[in-house]
Amino acid sequence: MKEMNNIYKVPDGYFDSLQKRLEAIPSQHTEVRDPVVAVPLWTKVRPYVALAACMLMAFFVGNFFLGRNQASAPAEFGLQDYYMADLIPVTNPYAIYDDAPMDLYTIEGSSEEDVVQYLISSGTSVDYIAYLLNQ
Amino acid sequence: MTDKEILELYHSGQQQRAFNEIVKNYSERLYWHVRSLVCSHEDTDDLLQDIFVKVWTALPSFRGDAQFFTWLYRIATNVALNFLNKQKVRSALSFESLSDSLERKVDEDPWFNGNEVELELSKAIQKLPQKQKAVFCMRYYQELSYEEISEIMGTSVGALKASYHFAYEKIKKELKEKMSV
Repeated sequence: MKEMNNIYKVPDGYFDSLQKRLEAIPSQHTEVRDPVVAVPLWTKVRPYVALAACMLMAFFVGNFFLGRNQASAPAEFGLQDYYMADLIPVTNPYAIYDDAPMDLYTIEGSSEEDVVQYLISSGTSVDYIAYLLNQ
Repeated sequence: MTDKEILELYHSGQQQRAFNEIVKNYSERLYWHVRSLVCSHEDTDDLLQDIFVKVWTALPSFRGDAQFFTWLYRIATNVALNFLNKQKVRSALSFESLSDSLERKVDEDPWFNGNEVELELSKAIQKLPQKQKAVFCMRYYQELSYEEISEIMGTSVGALKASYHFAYEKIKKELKEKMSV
C-alpha cells in the first residue's frame, strides 16, 4: 500500500483512539442471537386453514339461503299447461273439459270476445287489437 | 494474527478478542481506503464506525467462500459508495456536481499534506465516476491485484483492467492540462 500519510495527515494519536472506539462496538451492538427456532408446521399452515374454512362456510351459507329462495319459487308447469291456460276461453272456461280433443290453435265455442280478452291479457296494445278487429 | 487464526478465534467463542484483532489489523488500511474515496477525514471517521458495526453484525454469516480481507473491503467500499451516492443527491439540490463538491473538499481539506502535483492528482481522481474511482484507488493507492479487486467489486478482471486504463488516461489528460497552465 502506498504511504498515503504523505498526502493526508491525521490528528495526533488518531489511530489509537480509533481502535479503542471501534473495539467498543460489540458491547454497544450486542444482540441476543437466538438459535434457529424450528417453527411447527401447524403454526405456518394455520392462517391458510382459517382462510379456507371461512371461504367454505361462506359458500355453504350462501348456498343454503340461495336454495331456500329457489324452493319458494312457483313450480314450473309444463309447456302444454301454459298453452292450455293461455287459451281457456273467458266466457266458457269449462270448454277444456269437452271430450273432443283440444286443438291448440282453434277452440270450439270461442267467441270474438274470448279472443279480445286473450289479446288484452297477453299485453297486446289497444291499437293492434283495434287493427285486428277491423281485419 | 492471520485472518484464518482470527476466524478460528471467533468461532471458538472468543468473539470480542477476534473482533479486536480485526480492528487492529484492518482499521488503518480501511481508513485510507475510505479516505481516498470520500476525501474528508471527518466523513471517513464516521463511515469507519458504520463499516465496523456492519462487520460485527455480519461476521456470523461469513462463510469463508471469499478471502476475509476482500469481504471487509467489499463492505467498506459499499458503505463509501452509498455515502457518495447520498452526497450526489445533496449536491444536486445545491446545484453543484458531486465531483465539484469533492474537488472543493480536497482544496479546503485542512488535513491535506501533499505537494501541488499530489493535490492536482487527488482532484483529478475525485472527478472520476465513483466505481471507476474505487477501482483506481484500490489499484493505485492500496496496490491490490486485479483478482482481489474483482472479488471486492464483483466485476471481471478484464473489465477492471479496462476501467483502470480509462481512469489512468483521464487523470493523465487532466494533469497535463493543469500543469501546462
